[in-house]
Order: sequence, then C-alpha cells, then structure tokens
Amino acid sequence: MNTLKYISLILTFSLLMACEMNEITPTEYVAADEAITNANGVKKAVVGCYDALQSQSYYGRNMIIVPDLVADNLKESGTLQEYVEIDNNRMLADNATVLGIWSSLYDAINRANIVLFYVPKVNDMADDLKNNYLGEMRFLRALHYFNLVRLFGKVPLRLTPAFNPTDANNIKRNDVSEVYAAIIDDLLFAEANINNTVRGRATKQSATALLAKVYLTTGQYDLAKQKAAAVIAQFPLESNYSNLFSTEDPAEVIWSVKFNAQDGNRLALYFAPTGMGGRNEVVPTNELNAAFESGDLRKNVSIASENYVLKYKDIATGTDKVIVLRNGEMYLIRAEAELRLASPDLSLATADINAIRARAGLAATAASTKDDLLLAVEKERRVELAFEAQRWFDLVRTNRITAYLPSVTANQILFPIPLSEVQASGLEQNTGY
Amino acid sequence: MEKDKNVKIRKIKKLFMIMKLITALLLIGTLQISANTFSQDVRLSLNMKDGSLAEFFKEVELKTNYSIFYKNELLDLSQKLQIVVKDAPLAEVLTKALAGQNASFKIIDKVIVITPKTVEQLTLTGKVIDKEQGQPLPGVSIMIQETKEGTITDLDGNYTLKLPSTDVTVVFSFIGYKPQTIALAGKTTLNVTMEEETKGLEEVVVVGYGAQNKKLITGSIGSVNMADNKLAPNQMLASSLQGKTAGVLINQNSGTPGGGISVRIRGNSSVTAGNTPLYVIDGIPVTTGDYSQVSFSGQGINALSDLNPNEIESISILRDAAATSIYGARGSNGVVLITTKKGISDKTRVEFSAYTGLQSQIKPFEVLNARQFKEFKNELVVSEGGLPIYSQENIDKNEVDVDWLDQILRVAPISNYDISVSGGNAKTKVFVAGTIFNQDGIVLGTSYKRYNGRVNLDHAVNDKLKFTTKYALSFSKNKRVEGDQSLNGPLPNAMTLPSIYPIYRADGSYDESGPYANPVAIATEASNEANSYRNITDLAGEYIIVPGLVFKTKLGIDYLNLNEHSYDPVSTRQGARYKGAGIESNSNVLNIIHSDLLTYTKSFANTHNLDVLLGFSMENYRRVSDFIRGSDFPSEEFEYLVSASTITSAQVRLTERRLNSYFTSVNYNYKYKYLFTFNARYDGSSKFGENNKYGFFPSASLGWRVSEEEFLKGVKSISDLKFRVSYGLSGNDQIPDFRSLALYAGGGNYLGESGIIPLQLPNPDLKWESTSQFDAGFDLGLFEDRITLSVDVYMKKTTDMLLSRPISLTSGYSSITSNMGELSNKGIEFILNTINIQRTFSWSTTLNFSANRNEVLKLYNHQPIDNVGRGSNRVEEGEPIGIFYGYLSLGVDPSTGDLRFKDVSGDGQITSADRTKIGDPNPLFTGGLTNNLGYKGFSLNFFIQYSYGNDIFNGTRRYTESLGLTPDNQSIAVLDRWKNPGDRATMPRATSTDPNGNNRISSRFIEDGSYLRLKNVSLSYSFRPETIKRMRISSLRVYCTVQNLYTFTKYTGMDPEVNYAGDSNLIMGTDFFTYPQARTVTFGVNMGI
Repeated sequence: MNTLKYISLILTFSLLMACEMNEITPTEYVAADEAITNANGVKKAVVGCYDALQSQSYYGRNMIIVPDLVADNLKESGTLQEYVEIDNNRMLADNATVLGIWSSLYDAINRANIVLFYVPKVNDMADDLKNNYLGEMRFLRALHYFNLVRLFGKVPLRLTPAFNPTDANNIKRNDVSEVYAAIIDDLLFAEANINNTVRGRATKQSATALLAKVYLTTGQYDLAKQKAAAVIAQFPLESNYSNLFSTEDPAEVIWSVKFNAQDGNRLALYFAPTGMGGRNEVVPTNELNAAFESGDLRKNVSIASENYVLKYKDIATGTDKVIVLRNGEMYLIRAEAELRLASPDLSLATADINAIRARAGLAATAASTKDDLLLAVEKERRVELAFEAQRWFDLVRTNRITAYLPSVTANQILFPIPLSEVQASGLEQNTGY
Repeated sequence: MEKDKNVKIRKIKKLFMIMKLITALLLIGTLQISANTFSQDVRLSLNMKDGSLAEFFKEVELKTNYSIFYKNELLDLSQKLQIVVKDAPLAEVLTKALAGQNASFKIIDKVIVITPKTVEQLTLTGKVIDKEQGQPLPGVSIMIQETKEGTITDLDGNYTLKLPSTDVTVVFSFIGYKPQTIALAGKTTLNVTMEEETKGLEEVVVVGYGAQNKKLITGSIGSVNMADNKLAPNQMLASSLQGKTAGVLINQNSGTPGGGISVRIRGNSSVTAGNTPLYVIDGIPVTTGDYSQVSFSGQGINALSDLNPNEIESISILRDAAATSIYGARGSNGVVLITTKKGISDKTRVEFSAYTGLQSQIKPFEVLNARQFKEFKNELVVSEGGLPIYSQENIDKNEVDVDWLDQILRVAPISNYDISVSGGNAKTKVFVAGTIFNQDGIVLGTSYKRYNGRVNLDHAVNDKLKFTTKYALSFSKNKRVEGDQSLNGPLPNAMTLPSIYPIYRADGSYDESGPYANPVAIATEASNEANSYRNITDLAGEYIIVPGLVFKTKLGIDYLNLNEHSYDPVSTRQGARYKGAGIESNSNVLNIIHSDLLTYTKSFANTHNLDVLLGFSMENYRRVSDFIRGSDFPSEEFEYLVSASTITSAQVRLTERRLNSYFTSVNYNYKYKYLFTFNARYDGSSKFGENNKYGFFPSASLGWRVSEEEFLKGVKSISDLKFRVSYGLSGNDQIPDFRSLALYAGGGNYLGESGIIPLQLPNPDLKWESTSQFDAGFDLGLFEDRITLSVDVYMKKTTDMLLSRPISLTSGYSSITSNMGELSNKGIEFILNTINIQRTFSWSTTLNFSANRNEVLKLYNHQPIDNVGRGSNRVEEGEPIGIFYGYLSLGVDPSTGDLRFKDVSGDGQITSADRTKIGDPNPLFTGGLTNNLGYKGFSLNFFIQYSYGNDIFNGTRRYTESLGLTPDNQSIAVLDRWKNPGDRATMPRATSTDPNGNNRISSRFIEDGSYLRLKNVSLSYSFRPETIKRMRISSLRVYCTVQNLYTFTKYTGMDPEVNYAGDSNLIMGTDFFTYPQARTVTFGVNMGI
C-alpha cells in the first residue's frame, strides 16, 4: 500500500505543477490593456510614434529614395529588382518597396490613433500637456496621410485605432478631398496646440510649415503663402548650404527625423560607392547633374565628383538626420504660391527665388515672366531639395511629369495599391495595375 | 542468595538474548540474511554417545558461545542423541541433532533459533531462452495455472516464482512465441526454450511511451535499422534517414556542413505553423530547429545536428494518428522516436570505427570569362546606342581574368573517429561512446567539428526496482560563411562577380571595385562561428508494484547553448563600411520534462491480452538569448566586441512556455489475432488562447492478423498477413508564444528615449491545429518472410489550421494568427523487402515508395498567400502548398528578342492579373532503393534516392542570366541569347533596362527538379574471425564509400536537392545561390574487440 501512497503523492505533485501553467506570461511584452493607462504610458507610446518614422520603408530609407528614383533625380545602379521597377516607372502591384511604404505609413497612423484614443482617458496629466500630445500625434498623422495621398491617390482614411481583427474589415478608399480635409484639420489643431520645443519632435512651426506645403498642393495658394511667410518670419536661412548637412541642428531646419547608432537609417549605405563599403544602389542621374548651373555651391554638397549622393554621410551606423521641413523650401513655396495667385506680385516671388540662389552662390534669376519664374522655382526646387523626398511630388503637383519623363503614362502617376492589401481587403486597385 | 544472583544474571542474559532475538528477527524480515553465511566459520567437535537433546544444546552453547533459543513444547528434549563429530560446521551438527524433531533452526548473529519445521517456501527458478538465437528472453510471463499468480523473466531471462506446491502446472507465454504449459511434477528448477510462433515476430518496435511487438502493431510506424548506416558518412541524424523508409520526405536543402535538413512526414500538414516532426530521444522531446541569431537564410543550422547517429540503436517514425495521437498537440507532423544504445550484460565489447575521405563539387557552374564578359558588355552598350566600353586592345590584352568559383571552392577533407564500450552484469549495464567528427566544407571558410560523449547506465536494485541514467554531451563548432540572401556570401559573390575584377590590388589588399564584395576576402577574412554546447540528461526509475503493474518516472533535461561569434574585419567590404563589424550572441534553451507512467500488462490465459498505460507529463521550456552588435574596431587583430567603439545593438530576450499533458494507451488483443488500440492525450499549453488552453486528441486502431486464422494456417507461402486500420486526431502547436494576446513591445525608441509600440492584435480563441488521419494498410510476409511488403494508404485532413491571416494593412497590422484554414494530404506508401538470393552469394533489396498529394482546402476568405520567397511560392485553395505562381512565358519572340507572356486575363495587356500557376515544387512521388550484395566477406551496398515530378525555381538565373539588367557576371548560357531579328533563341535579348520585364518571375526560370541519385555506394570486406583472432580482435571490416556518386537530372543548377530557405513551410524548391552538396569519397574501418 505504501507504493500506492507514493504514486498518489507523485500524481498530486504533478497535478499541482500542472496548475502553474496559467502563470506563464510574456516576459518581453506587456498586455495592450496595461500599456497606456497613465501619463508615463502615454509618453512612451508617443515616443513609439516617432520611432515609426525611422523605419527603412519610411524616412529610414525608402521615403527619401523613392520620390527621386521614380522621378528623374536618381537612377538604379545596384541589384534591387524592386528599385529597377520604380526607376523605370514600371511598378508591379507586388513591388515590395511599395508594400513597405504603404504598411509602414499605416502602422505609423495606427500608432498615432492609439495615442489619440488613450490620451483623453488618462487622469494624471495636465490638459495643456494632453493637448500638446494630441497636437504632436495629429501632426504626425497628417504627415503620414499627406505622404499616402500623394503616392496612392484615394486612400482609406482611418482616424481611430484598430483594437480587434474586425477593425480591419470594411475598408474603403476615401476621396482625395476628404483625405486633404482631414490633413488640414489635424494640422490646424497641431498648430494651435503643440507647445513642444524639443528638436526632432513636432513643433507648432512644423505644423505651420507642413500646412504651407499642403495648401500649395491643394491649390490654396493664399493660405500656402500665408503659412510659408509665417515660418520664414521665425527661421533664418542657413548662410552656408553645406551646414545643413554637416551639422545636426542647423537653425534653418524646422523639423528633421533623428537617428542614432542603435536606430540608424540606411541612406548613406545605399548611396555610397562600393569602394567605401556602400551599396551604390542608386546614383544621381545625368539630368540632375546637368540641372545644377555652373558655380552652384549646392552641387558639391549634394553630389560627389564620383557621382554619388553626399547629403547623407554615415555609412556605418546611419546617424544622419533626415530633413523633412526646412526654411529654404518655405521661400520656394512662398514664391510659387505667389506666382500662382490670380494676380501675382512677380517681384515678391523673384526676391524669394533670389534669396535661395544667392545662398547657392548664384546671380539673380534671369526669369521675368510668370511662366519663366515658375520654371525657375521648379528648377530651384530640383537642385535645392534634391534627395529630400520632393522631386516626384513636385512633378505630379505641377503636372510636369511628361516634360521630364515622356514615357510615363497617366496611369503610372499613382503607385499601385500593394497586391497584398488588395487581396486582404478587396480594396480597389489603381487603374493600370 | 548465590543462586538468586545467578538467576538474576541469567535473566538479564535472557533479556539481552531476547533483544538480540528481536533484532535478529527484524533482520530476517528485512534483509533475509541466510543463516549459513554466519555459521559457516563455526566448527565444533562433539562426542555424545547417549545424551539428550537438552544436554546437546548445553554442550553446544558451551563450546560455541552461542545462545540457543527455543520453545519447550516444540521439542522432545529428552530424545536421545548419538553425535560424534570432529571439527564439523555448526549447521551440520545442528541439522543432525534436529533430524528427528519437527523443527528447524536459524542462526542469527550468535543466536540459534529453533523454529517449528514448516514446509520450506517452494520456489521455481530457471531461465527462458529463445530457441532460434539461444539468447535469454526477457519479459516472458510465467503463470501458475491453478492460482493465476505469476511473474516475468528479468533482462537475462531468469525468473523466480513462489510455488504453493510442486504439484502445479505453469504456463510460459510471450508475445510472438508459442506458449508452453508444463506440469511441474515436483521440479523446482525449470529451464524453458521458447519457440517463435512465426518467424520475425520477435522484432520489437519502439512506440510512444513504450515498445511493442512489430507483428501486433496496429498503427503505421516505420523503423530504421541504424546498423545499415555504419558505412555511410552521415553525420547528420536526418540525412541517415533519407530514403530509408516510406512516408518521409527528407530534403538536404544545401551542402552547408552541419546545416539544417527539412523532414516532412506524410506531407506538409500546415501552412504557417511548423511542419517539422517531434523528435523524442529516449522519451525526452528534444529541442530542434535553428536558434541562430546571425542570419544565414537557408544555410541555417539545426539543434538536431548535435546528435551523434553512432549512438543510436533504432529510430521509429510514427506516421498515422494511431501512432502519433499519444503525442497529442505535437503529433500532426509525425514523431521521430530515437532510442540510444544500451549496455549489455555480457562480455565487454569495444567497438572502434574510423573513416576519412575527401569531398568535392559535383557539378561545375560555368560563367563568362573576362573576354566573354567584356564582349557581352560591349555588345549590350552598342545595341542600345552607346559606344563600346572596352577597346579591342583591352579585350585582347585580357590582363585580369579571375575564375572566382575556382578561388573559393576546394576539395575538402572529412573524417570521423568513433569508439564505444558496452558491458556489464546482471545488475548493472553500461554503454559509453565518444566521437570526433571533422568536416571542412567545399566552400572556403566553412567547416564543422563535433565532439560527442555519452554514458548510458542501467542498474537494477533488485527484481522490482531499476534505475536508468543517460547522459549525452556534445560540442560543435560550425564555421559558416554568409549565405545566399546576403550580399556578402562567398558563393553567390563568386558566381556573380565578373571575372574582370582582380582579387588583389597592387598593394596586396583586396580589390573591392566590383559590384559585389570580394568573395575571397570574405571567405578568408571574415569569421562566423556557431559554437553549440548540448547536454541531454535522462534520469529514470522503474518499479514493479506487482507483476504486470509497473510505475515509471522520468526527469529529462535538454540544455542547449548556442554561442555565435561573427566578425568582419576592415579587409572585407562589409567590415570596411563599419571599420570592423562584430556580433556576439548566445541562445540558452532549457527544456525540462517530467513524466510519470503507470503500465499494466495482463494476459488472461493467453486469450485476452491487455496492455494499459496511464501517464502524465509536464514540460517547461525556457529560452534566454542575447545579441550584441558593435562596430569600429582598432584593427583586424581585435575580433571581440570588447574592442568595439560603438555598440549598435544589444538585446536580451527571455521566453518561457509550459505544456501539461495527460495521456493513455490501451492495447488489447484476442489470441494475438484481433488487435485493438486506443490512444489519447489531453494537452494544455501556455501558447494558446484562454478560451482554448486544453485540447483532446484520441485515436483508435484495429488490426487483424489473417495469417493466424485457421484457413490461412495451411497456406505455407504466406508467413504473415495483417490488415490494419486507424483513425484519430493529433495536433500542431508550432507557433510562436503569446500569439493569442494583444501586446505592446518595447524598443520603439526615439531621441534616446524609450518608447513602446503595438505588436499584435488579440485572438483569445487561438488553439491547436488539429489533424485527423485515416490510415489503412497491410503487412504481408511471404516464404518465411523472405519477402515482406507493407502498404499504407492515408487521408490526412488538417482543420483549424493556424494561419497568419492577412488583414488590411490599413489597420496598422499585417496579419493575425488564427485557426481558419484546412488542408489535406492523401497518399500511398509502401516498403518492399526481398531476400533475392541467400546462399554463399546473397542479395537483398529494399524498395520504398511514397506518393503524397497535398491540397489546400480552405484559406481565410479564399485569399491566397502570395508571392512568398524568391520564386514566388503561393498558397491557394485547390492547389498544393507552395506552387510557383508568376507569368507564363511563351518563349522568345524572334522579331524583338523579348519574351512573350501569356495574357491569361485576356485583356490585351500583361498585368499582375496574368500571373498563373507555373510550377509545383511538390514531388509526385519519392523514395529509395537499397541493394545489399554479399559474397563471402565482401559486401556491396548501393542506395538510390529519387524524387519525381517536382519543379525548381532557379532564382540564381534571374541574376546569372539577367542579360545586362544587373551588373552580375553571366552564365555561359547567355551566349546563346537572341541577337538579331529572326533569331530563334530560348534566351531573350540583352538589355540594361528590360522594358518588357523579361527578368520577371516567370516560367522562364522554372525547371524540372526530378532526380535519381546514387546517394551511396559502398564496398566493404569483413575479415573472417579465424584470420583476425590472432590479433585479438573479434571483428574487422574495411570499406570504401562514395556519396552522391551520380545524379540523373535535367536540372541545370548545381544540385536538384535544394531549397535556399531551408526548412521553410512555404518557400519550397527554390534555388538561390545555394551551397551545393558535395561528392564524398571515404575509406573506413570498423573494428570490434
């Protein structure tokens, strides 16, 4: 009978061990409903929203490379087939780079939506801090949608977070105008409520600057001029163009995305020649090289004599900041907005163009008519803002693609909705893909 | 007074004696010390002519100083005795004196106890041996027919059975042997020779939580005899199983030394959860899989590589639900049961084996030389309106022409030394083994070294209690080079770096001017070490509570430490970028398992035979891993991270999980003729959602041994025939932990501040994948089993398939893990063993054949899982997993030199809607054929492995035949490209922009991957025992083996047994600069002392 006693003892022990199973909980993660319950949680989740910007599909690489590659500033020289498709304006719907941009943008949007959802529910936080966070999140969300709508056209507008798988159902594409309305709404709130001044994070001025860009895109030139002027009043123009890329926080920069060795970008790596350990994946086109007037001080800052992009330098750890908004662009926005007004003041526009040219060591522009001045702005934007995620958007906005890329068809102006998105949600594909 | 004192002393003396007696009696009861042992030494002389027994006792007490204790009423003390002895043993004297009394005695310590003479406990002892082999038979049941009491023989065939009298009948029975009924008629020893009922019945096969006679098994189990592998230099467990049994598809994937091998039992049962079988070594489910944290894509490693095939005695592969459901939630993919060798209770045997050999590339890969490359480039540029890049003078001079593949490929040595000792006695048996294995890879910079040690110890405390401990230790060092997916792999770079770039610059440093990093620099300078330390310890106890009822308990520990060290010095391109880049990582994986089993075996008059098992087990898994990456080292000499100036990443991770299980198995048969088995397991895992923590997996199977029926007994030619049928459920839990929970992760940092980010959406209903399987088969033996055939057909259906269900990316998430898919595997498999000739010349053949049809039945919303991997594998309903999906090439248009693609959608243009099924990586059938020919001491063994009907996507060609789109060197196949309108070419035109998308994923790159491979050919000679006796060795064999001697295939790549993504579920049959297998020639010797 003793034996049976022992056996029952062992079985009891075993059963007791069995009960412990439910105590196994994640050690590396925290449950979602415990993550954001107080001021600290909000603070950490806000940081997580900025982290989204560092993705290699976003400002960590592709959001900088793709707008110049699909346009005429960069060309593929490496081995990435998906870049070849982009370079040749022959993207297929399964292009992995396009998929990456789409998903990282919506991931970033969801992160912002989550914070926007939780902030009002937190008790241990002052209202102005709450509003600041709401403002920062709405600034980021506006930026993400601005990038989306410019690449893909009609996109689903999601202003609430997804908590359950069912929240991913019934997705529809919203009209471009609805998306822009939401962007402007977010940015106006951000402009009114952000009081953050930490560089690398959204500020009141960054909201204003982005508004200027958005208004220019939506054709609200009066407002674009107004917002650009408001920014210009508060920021200088860096006297030395090269300072913009050799120092971390040039005064001209309104907002940049920051990187460090632990969260590096891959820009310098993709640009640098193989001899330096880079991938030389994309190089400046001959056309871009030719677009610089002789004596343009910006050329040697932007492109190395061996023809590779110089604006990003840290090949090993990718710590270069990525400038998203800077005052130089505001001058060109103000000039363009002015020129596109019903009755433009050409001298104001000329002054803004010349301010940018003067810094580049160039004489005043020879253009004197409205049309010539618009062309001058177009050219200045191309060289001033090369490799800063502008060129494709400029050509699309001004409907000037065919002037530079004659083979591009109307259908190729919008990127394809990624195949996996179409398959998962049945979202309508852009024409031609 | 004096007398009183004496009385008192006597009384005290008596008290002492009583105490002594009590002690003595206690000792009798516990230790059963035999009286004789003590009394042996005491001798005495007596000269008693006519004394009484009382006087005799006094005399003895006096002469021996022993006390005698007795009850008066027991003895006739007045009986007269006549004892005259000289220097006789005490016991003998006592026996004489008590001869006329109804009493006997015991001597304990210095006390002689006279006890009533009882009928001495009668026992029957003896040994049971097998008639055929003359070997002892353990586990034979012996039963007294009258009382139904019984026992079983121990490991040496010995038994002891208590008898009520010697006038009883005893029945000896053992599965597969003819039972014997013997009337004792007074005998107390009985040695029995058991005769087999049918030949071959003795083969015992390891099954889940036990062993079963092969002839009585109702499930589908393949067993592999490891003795056959003695001649093949297979240092990987899985590769030694390749082609050896039906229903198992083993793909080597690559030739990386120590690399992972994919094993599929009866097809892929899952799309996203793992498809690897459960491996159980001596009852311990072991850690498998790739724990490497340094990415090597398909050339991963596998924890299974730590095991030494030389220590393995047998392997059972559990295929159907009847066999696997006892492993419950982990049984769906089949189970591989591995049993290591045991000691023997015989003469100590020492075995030594060694081999050494060379490996070389099987098939060359030819690329353009410098002249051809320059001409190709010139033609390309000119055709696009440019000026030639290279002048004719430059081409003719041809200063630099590097054969990069020749630079990094080599003939590499392989060797193995193995020693084992086994021995022991009836109580304790030991097996000790040690192995050193050394392999250099055919790609420069790769090697694999492994040291294994093992001690298996069995100790029987007594007839009832037994302990076993098994202790295995291994260390391996795997030096690898970066793989195909990286831009820094020596092999892909050597295949694609044009020959026009020199290896070295003028100053002797490596030239890095080419589009890809210098492969010689990487292979020579970079280090990538994976050091694996592994210990598997097994402590087990077994106690026979009553005959037939056994309690077993086990504690198993499987500990794996994988340390990886990686360093790219500045002399490599990658290292230059970071001024030296280093990684140091460790993965510590600890799996502790505890199990308790209660088994009951009972045979009711050999008619109703019952085997019952009840069990509980608990597994606790814990993995701690760290990963540190740094850059900027002072110089090449400083290889370790302590010298790095920047730590770019440092992570530590911990994850735990637990599995609790209750299981049972009931085997019943009627007269060994009608067989029934029921197995079930109730599994609970921390991996699953709170609504579905536990799952239940039952199975039932029936067997009918037709050959035991009277109507077949007369048919001499049929020696065995059994029909089997089974149905049951098993599960699959191979998904990452905590997928059921909504979680936030850390690490979303910005501006040096820590941040959190959402990780996944919740699914509280997450549960096991469940696979139901129906199996029907038969086992046939003809002509005394000279021909045996096993045939199985099966239908396997996986439901609640765990799918990473794609959801709209606009939610911020790409997918959630949920149970929603269904797929099926249907198949047929057979194994045919024939002994063709069995004389001085012998010839035997084993042929196995497996055909599996996989079909995906249901995916979420019918959405295909598309565009996976380099070859665009796809999962869609109505098709097998992993079909190749892309554009259908209609060949080169002679007028343009561009490919024409099929307009599947018929809309007049080629868009993504025109993608279609262009190939299938799943073979129609696979198998192996082994032939053994023997003549006197010589034997020739050849093993052929085949796979038919599978396609390969040759992704390498997208680069080596990119025709100018990429800077890669081209294979010589491009010389036959389209050049002028009207050319009828298979290769499209050269173009640097490829506006037509000739290079897209299309059927252009799909090839027939069928092959028939002469995997092993070995010729050996065994010396005759008489010849080698003088050298004091008992056996000696020398052999030569060639592995991968020849492969018949249409595949144009280096090796058809390929998959760059290794053990991936969905990426199948895709070649992408994959490390090819080598041809190996080895010479070896096996010696026994």
